[in-house]
Amino acid sequence: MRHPYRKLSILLCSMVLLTGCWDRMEINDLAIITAAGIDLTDNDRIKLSVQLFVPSPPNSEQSSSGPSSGSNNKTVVRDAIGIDMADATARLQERLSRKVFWGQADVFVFGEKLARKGIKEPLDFLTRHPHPRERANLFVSEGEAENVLKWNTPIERNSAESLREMAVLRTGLNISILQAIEELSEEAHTAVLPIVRILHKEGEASPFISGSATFRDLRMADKLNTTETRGLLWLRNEIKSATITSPAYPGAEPASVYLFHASSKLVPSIHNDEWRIRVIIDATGNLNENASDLDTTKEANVLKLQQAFKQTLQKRIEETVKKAQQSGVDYLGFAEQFYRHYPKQWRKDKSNWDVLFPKVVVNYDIRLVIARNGLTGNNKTLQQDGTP
Amino acid sequence: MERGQVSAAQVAVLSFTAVTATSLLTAPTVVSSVVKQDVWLSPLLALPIGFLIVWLIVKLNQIYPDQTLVQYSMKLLGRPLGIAVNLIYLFFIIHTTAYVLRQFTDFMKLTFLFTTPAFVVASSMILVCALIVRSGVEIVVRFPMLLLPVVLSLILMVYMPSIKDINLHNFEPVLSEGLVAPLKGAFRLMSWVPVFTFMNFYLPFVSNKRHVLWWAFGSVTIFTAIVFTTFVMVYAIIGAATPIYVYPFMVLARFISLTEFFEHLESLVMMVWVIVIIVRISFGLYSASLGLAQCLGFPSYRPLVLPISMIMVLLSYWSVSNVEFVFSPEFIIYYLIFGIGLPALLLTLSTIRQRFSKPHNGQDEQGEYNV
Repeated sequence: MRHPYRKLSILLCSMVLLTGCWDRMEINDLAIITAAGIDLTDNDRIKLSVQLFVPSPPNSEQSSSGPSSGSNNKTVVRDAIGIDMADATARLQERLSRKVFWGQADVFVFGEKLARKGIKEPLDFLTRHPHPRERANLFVSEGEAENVLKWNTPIERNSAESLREMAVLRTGLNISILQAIEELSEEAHTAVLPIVRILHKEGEASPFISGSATFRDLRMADKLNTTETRGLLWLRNEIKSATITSPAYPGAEPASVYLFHASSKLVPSIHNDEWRIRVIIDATGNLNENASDLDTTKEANVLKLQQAFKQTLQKRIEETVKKAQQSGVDYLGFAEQFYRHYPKQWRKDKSNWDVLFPKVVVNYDIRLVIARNGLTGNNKTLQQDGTP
Repeated sequence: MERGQVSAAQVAVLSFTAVTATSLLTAPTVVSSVVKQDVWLSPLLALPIGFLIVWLIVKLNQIYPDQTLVQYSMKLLGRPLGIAVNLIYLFFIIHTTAYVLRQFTDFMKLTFLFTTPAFVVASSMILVCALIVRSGVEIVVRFPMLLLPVVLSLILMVYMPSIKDINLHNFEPVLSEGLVAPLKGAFRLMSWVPVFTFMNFYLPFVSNKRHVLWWAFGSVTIFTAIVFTTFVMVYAIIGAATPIYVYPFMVLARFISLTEFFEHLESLVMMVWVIVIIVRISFGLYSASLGLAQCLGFPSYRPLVLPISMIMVLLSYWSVSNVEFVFSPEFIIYYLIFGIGLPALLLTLSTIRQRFSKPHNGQDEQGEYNV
């Protein structure tokens, strides 16, 4: 208390600094990007198109009709062409009255053409720049990415939101920036991204996630359709729930099981230069539908059904494995497994992996349990030729 | 020159908070870029070195209970040589603290305050630290005690929601390349561990000297535990991609999405960062000011605080063009020379002197040896 004025002056000084006004940014000075699409133009330049969130001004008295539905919101799409992402962003800024803000961008869509040429450059921008979040979803679009952004969704707020929600549902892949980077830094240097396809129906376009694109050395290599992607999800242990339909026994009518618990594991082994992977799958489900004449209250019949489902599941996964081995791109994560369990052998044969991978023998060890039969037992009334 | 009574526990808390400070954000990258999946082993390998450093410092303090390293080095090396060595040692303290200041401003400029001039960020930080240091040793030491619960709970707020993203398979294969890589990682950790030597400026004020060694060991152990947990969390979640991010801990915080409601938690990281950096800089600033005052024979260290602060702000710009270069091997050796080399040299000199000289200066040793 010897120098009360000095202490006071220090407090006053800190008052000036504490406001942090240097980095003040009003929300109405920001162009908030909700999604961005990155395409390649014909002369090898990057075309960046962004979907901007337009906050509806409060004086438009539309809120009287209850909570405004998503279609009221206009999404604005703007684009700019540049040498790389950063250059395109700078050019985009020239065309906007507000400052570009990446902090809320949850969806990034790569055009197929760009994906085939390589996604190294945009990925570097997205990880280096401090604003885009690591949890943002990545997609590859069939055709131009800009078209996906332009789509006006009837249900959700904007197309970015609906794409993200579709990814979260996990019918297909759900890949964040961090996951993609992580996979690319693993041994095989591959990655998979979900593909967005635009469905044209009655003059209305609606994008949806359909299949996936595989990347090798940051270049898009191959496309998987929806069933192959499901097989891939099984191998990656990313299945949350699944419905498997198969004839109850050869020649019978179909039955379906809804699997609500599923997990998988890849176990590598090397025996005298034969590289093997054992796929161990553990799944539990409820019987969803049974149109066949099997009486599911009998244990033998349930076992028969389980066997049938197992075979269908195995076939589904086999298809994916076959496709991967034919293309020679290891997006199944086999390399990582061999590296983790046989580091010495792996280091020796790492350069040889392209030759080895198609020869890896894959065995299946599937445990599938039908835990419940649903609310009806032996549904005799619905059998056409009622068994006596 | 300076009066104050602090406890051994308080000095221990101060030391580990100060040493942990920058390691929380940058150490996972620095270490995992050489060690990869065995990253968890490096802090454990660095633990003995930490023990050695604090043992040297505490042992020297037991021989000269009321003196700092600056004072007894003048006694042991002779006055002219002692002053020369001390000035270099003090430059080391100022220099490394200036690096921390630079890391602080860089992080703030990169992630939060884009348009604020770096000078303002750095000088407002150093102003706070100067205020703390001028208030005396008790304030410097109690400040981390006050804020430690805040820091720990904020760190837990980042770790707890991340637990569900953990993938322990990221640590396989264990020790595939032997112990060489983890040892290299432990070596890289040596740009933090030697900071424990700054402890010597606080030990003369400790009232319960009997427990000081155990508290010092405890301090190193807690530091190791925090770094170990950080490494495990970061590598279990980010995996092989850890080395590409400069601030993996920040990535962890940004990656959190708890029921899509708790998101954008990076501001927590900033809070942790600001608090621990204040502790780290005041730790260094007090050491440098007190040391310089003792070296030059000033009656009080207080007039030196602000000039040294200014020098730190300037050094934080002049001496580094880009903070990434700080973790080069030459720099770590620079740390080790002053962190282990100097105390070890002084302890050897004092044991030699004790053996060959008459016990006329045995006065201040008695009472401390019956620990």
